[in-house]
Amino acid sequence: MRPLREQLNLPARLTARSPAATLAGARPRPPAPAALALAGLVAAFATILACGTGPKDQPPAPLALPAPEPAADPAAVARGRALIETLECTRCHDVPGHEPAPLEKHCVRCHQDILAGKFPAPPGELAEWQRHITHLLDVPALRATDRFRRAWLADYLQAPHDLRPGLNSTMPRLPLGPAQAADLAAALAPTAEDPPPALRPSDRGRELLGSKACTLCHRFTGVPDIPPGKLPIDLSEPLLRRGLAQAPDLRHTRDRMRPAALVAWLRDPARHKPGTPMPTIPLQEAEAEQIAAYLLSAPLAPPPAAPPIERLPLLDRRVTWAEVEARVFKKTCWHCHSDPDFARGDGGPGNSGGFGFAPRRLDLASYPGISSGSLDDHGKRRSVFAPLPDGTPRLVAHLLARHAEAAGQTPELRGMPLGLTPIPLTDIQLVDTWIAQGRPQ
Amino acid sequence: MHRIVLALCLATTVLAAPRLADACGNTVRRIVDSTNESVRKAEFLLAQGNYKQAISTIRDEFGDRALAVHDGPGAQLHQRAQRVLAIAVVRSKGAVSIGPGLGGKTDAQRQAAIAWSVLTLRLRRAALDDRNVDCILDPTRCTNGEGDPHTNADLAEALALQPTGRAEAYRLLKDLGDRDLMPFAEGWALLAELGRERGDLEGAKKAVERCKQIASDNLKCDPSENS
Repeated sequence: MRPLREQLNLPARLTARSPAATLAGARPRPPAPAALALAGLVAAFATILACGTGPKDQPPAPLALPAPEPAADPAAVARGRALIETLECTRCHDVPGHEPAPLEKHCVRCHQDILAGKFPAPPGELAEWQRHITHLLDVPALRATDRFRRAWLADYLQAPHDLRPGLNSTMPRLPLGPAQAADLAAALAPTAEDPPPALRPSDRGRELLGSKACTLCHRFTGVPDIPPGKLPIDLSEPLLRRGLAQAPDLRHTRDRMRPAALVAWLRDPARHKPGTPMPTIPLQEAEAEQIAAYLLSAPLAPPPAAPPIERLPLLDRRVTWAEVEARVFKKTCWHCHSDPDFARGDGGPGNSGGFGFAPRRLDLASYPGISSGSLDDHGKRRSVFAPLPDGTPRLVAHLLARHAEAAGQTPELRGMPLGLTPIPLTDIQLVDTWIAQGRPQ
Repeated sequence: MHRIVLALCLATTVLAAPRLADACGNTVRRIVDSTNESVRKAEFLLAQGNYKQAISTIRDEFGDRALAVHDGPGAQLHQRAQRVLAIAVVRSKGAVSIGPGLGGKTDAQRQAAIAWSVLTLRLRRAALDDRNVDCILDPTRCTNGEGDPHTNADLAEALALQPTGRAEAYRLLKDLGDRDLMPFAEGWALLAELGRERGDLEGAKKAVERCKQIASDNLKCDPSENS
């Protein structure tokens, strides 16, 4: 049992001194024996109150939850479904009712095939690629998305954040305005939300998150650590790996999930979304509700302040094209900003267009390519080295913007590499220095 | 001349054809495709200044198709192969032969090869601009920002070998320089030469400076320095 002082939320000094004396700032005198006896009686009485009958036995009031969302406007749903095609969501996600992207455009399946040794390529090349592939290995399928709140979906699509700490890539910031994001959210969650159950705040939910080993995979930032107990079911290692990678940070659950759907999901995830890495943990209805109540109502500490994003000073040594190409452009950028001559005119989404982006004609696969710039919003060629108003070269500003996105910000420039791990600041410093030195070939 | 007319007719056919379906095609595809390996090898030889071997590598892979306009699967690679031939001709001033009557010892052979190179690079610019026929002769009529800078710089290099093409070459390179889109050091060196020819000494000086910033030590940015 917690001490009475904590239950009443009283500061420590008030229990030793009367409120009046505290307010007057008087020096406390040593308590007389009679006073000590009286204090003991009061404390005992209060303890009884806290343990037994009285107001504390009343169940806490149900959580105040957002009003259920009505069914989406069918016209918005139709527009949203068209957007799924335009934005090429199927290049990464499986989406019911939409044909998967062909292998040569399917980022995730291509990577999976390479790792599985199934991709048609010479063994030597395959082995080299297998060593390099770290991103986009597993992405959640967009099934059972009716469990999400449309309002959250629309916000998230416009400003994706690090929802799944176990993945080293995030949902990319696609070219979406608020209206399009709302349409897409309508397509993903078209149905009316079920009325929420009467959930009551309870610390039991916190205990269950630990004892059912939920926190083995899930992080829950903003609440005190919850050590995971023993996993109550057998879980294969591949499934555990997928779970560790895809488990969302539970601090977002209150904005992200519809409460009734959350309870149903906790009880049997696979029934709603076959193939999900979230295992079915045996839970009573009441337990699922207690977990849901904790997820939806536990006090959250604010996220830690992001470290400042510093543009490092220029290096005082010579930087060559060979060095920046190897460290940055060929290592990271090339895959999406490729030479369109490589095959049938498509240089990847950053060159020939894709994911809803217009072709920018930016080829980062060679020195002449990068020197040839990219197309601006009006179709005019511009240098990617031209300084922005603050003096930062455009290319460097895009690389820095990805750090800002990773820190939860929504910078005006789109961060690059799109949705992937930010390029280390020391590598950006290298690019910055190379540009300042006149971009030696 | 009849060769150029024939090529223009073929080009019109090609540019009127429907656009190929896009495919991903990047680092993965290029290693799977053996033709690509040959083109890459030829590009490497070209960069080394080994023009004859670069040409024979392309001719071995493509045969006579290397000189003709081609559409269909592999069109992009074919264009890249033709660029190797065109630049080999330009950098050898027409001395290397890429086919019968195209390049060699006589002035007529050299001029024919240079004319072929100019035409090939004009067609490449149009092909890269969504097959925009209007873009063949006039870069301001290209839809994608006055044409691909790399191809424009290549074209300028070829045009500069024709007495009637030097003004156009200067315009192309000056535009690239003004917009900070010069794709390689040789472009700055040529801009300096053409600028000096036109009395733009200040522009020529700047072009030499940029060339020296970018170039490796073995490129002569300012021919007047050692004279």
